[in-house]
Amino acid sequence: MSIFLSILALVIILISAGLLFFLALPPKRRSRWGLRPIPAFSELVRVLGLSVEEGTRLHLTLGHAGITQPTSASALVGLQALERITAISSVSDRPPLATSGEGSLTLLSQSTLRAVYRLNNALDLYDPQRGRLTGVTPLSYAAGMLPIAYDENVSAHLIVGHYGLEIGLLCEAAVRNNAFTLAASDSLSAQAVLFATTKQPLIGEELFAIPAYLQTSPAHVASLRVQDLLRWGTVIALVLSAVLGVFGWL
Amino acid sequence: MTDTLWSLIAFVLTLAILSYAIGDNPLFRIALYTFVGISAGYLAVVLIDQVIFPRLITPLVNPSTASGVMAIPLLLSLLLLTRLSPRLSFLGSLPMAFLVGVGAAVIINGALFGTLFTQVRAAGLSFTFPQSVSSGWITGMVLLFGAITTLLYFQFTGRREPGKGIVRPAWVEWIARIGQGFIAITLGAFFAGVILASLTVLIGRLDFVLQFINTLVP
Amino acid sequence: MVMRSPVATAIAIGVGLIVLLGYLLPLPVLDPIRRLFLDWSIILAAVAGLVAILNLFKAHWRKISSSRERDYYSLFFILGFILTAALGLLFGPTDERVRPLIMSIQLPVEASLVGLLTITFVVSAVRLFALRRSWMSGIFLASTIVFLLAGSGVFLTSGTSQVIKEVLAALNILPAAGARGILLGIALGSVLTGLRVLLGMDRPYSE
Repeated sequence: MSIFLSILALVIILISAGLLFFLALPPKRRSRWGLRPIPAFSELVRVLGLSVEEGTRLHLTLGHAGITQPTSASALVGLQALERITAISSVSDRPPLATSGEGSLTLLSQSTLRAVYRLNNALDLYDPQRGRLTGVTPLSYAAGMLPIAYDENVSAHLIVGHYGLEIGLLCEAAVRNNAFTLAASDSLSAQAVLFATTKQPLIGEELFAIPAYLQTSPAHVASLRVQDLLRWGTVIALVLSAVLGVFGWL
Repeated sequence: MTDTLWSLIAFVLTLAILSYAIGDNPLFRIALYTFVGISAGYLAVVLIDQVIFPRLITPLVNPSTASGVMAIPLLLSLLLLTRLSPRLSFLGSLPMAFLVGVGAAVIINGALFGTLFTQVRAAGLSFTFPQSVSSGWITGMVLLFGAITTLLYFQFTGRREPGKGIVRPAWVEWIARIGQGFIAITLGAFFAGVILASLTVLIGRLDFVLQFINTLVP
Repeated sequence: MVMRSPVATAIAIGVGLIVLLGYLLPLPVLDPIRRLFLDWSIILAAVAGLVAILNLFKAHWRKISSSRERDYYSLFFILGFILTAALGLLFGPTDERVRPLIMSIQLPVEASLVGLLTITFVVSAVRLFALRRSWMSGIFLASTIVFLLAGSGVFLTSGTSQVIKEVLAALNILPAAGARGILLGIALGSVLTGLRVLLGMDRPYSE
């Protein structure tokens, strides 16, 4: 790893952290900027409301990436979504259910659920079994979710995390049960599968927009704005890299 | 004899799983639950045998190694075990915080060095010698254009316009539309790859079923 | 707002910063600490895995013993789990007596599930327009068909003209470009997700 790249990485991290702090501060007046509408999120909010009204269950699944793996960012986003969704629907007859295919993720989903119940002064309603491991290999994890899709009166599946093609099993079960699915993954194969098999797929980095669009906290909106700024930085870097390539300086 | 018995089990399980194509059924469920149980049991053994014993227990009981340092992961592991009790489970948040902290650093490092820097450099390499003939340049330009338009498709922030809500500038919308095309082509190509991969596995399974039936029919 | 789990938050931030700086700065003090923390995280992830597996066992046990939500299929989970765990602990996971459980049960079931997905994928492609009618779905399907044909090898015969081969080679650039854009975006999102944890904005570990 070259020193130049290390310094560049440090600069990116420091600038991003500074911007994140600054943009997360409450604005003095209404901002001229906002987040563009994404239809999948409006549909999700509608389905959330319906699920609470009808007493059906929401199922959020977090993937099978270990929390110390580079691919676990998607699961961290899923946990933020779980926090928000549980806060909205914890009063429902059937509180949301979180599943995962890796041990540390399961324990984190239980922590997230417990924290929401504690903050709502309803710790006696918390059941650790609402945060479940369904299987330990990618396929056994997907297979373990099928009984949930069929037997637990689930009206909506939120699929947010790292997957492979196995996620098609849950999507197919959701279609057979006429359940709503909103899905996002960081893996390209899984995105392709989700695009073909779910009603509302989120593509690519739209995954990272979930907490902001669910209005989890101002920090998440700020995070998306910094992401947009970094995006333009990346575009400039791509062009620069091409120019350097043309002159043979790369 | 034993081999035939195991082949018979594999044969029955294969048929049980494939029967799901018709619909959810008890045979499928039995195969599913057995499979989940066996894989969970096996991983539990692997974790104990290949991680917990050699990395935690052995260094602790072996006085030649730095046992003192290993007291910390031992303590954190014991705190994690409290997650088995609903009343003590809150103690498990400390080791989980440790894991999340390490995970966050690994994520940032992986994203910057594993993807961002590598992909940006690769974008420029398409233009370098010996590829810098016309076809190489065209390839480089298409790759660059596709990557930029795709990246801009995701732009989340827009300006608040009276009566219109939040909108992005018209030129960004146009670029985003081209990016959307690239995304659709990309996901289609990956979907084709996924179908071909699963089809290969399906052919393998059907071949196994036919071979097993052939061994039964003399 | 109530500060959630200050000690846990301090641990996550402290450990995360040390590991990150250990990656970025070539300081001799940081590197061994980073390696030590990564080693510990492997142990903790294994213990977490074990705890979650025991929870899974407990959930299935509850399902066969509870009268309210009884699920007899859980009996097969319990039997499979106990048999594999007992044999594995007794003889070791790589023993000849344990291997058939994996080779003749786990692997065939996994392969069959993947095979089953072929049907799901083909049916999904057919019904995609019913699910979402958009120009993006149209391009997606067209791309799927083109790359299915290309991947199937029908154009690899000696009779295929040079023009078709060059068109196919050119077509391969398009998904590579899109994939680069998607991956770069995911990397940006990942950096910020990690940063939110290191700044204590996201605390999924707090109870």
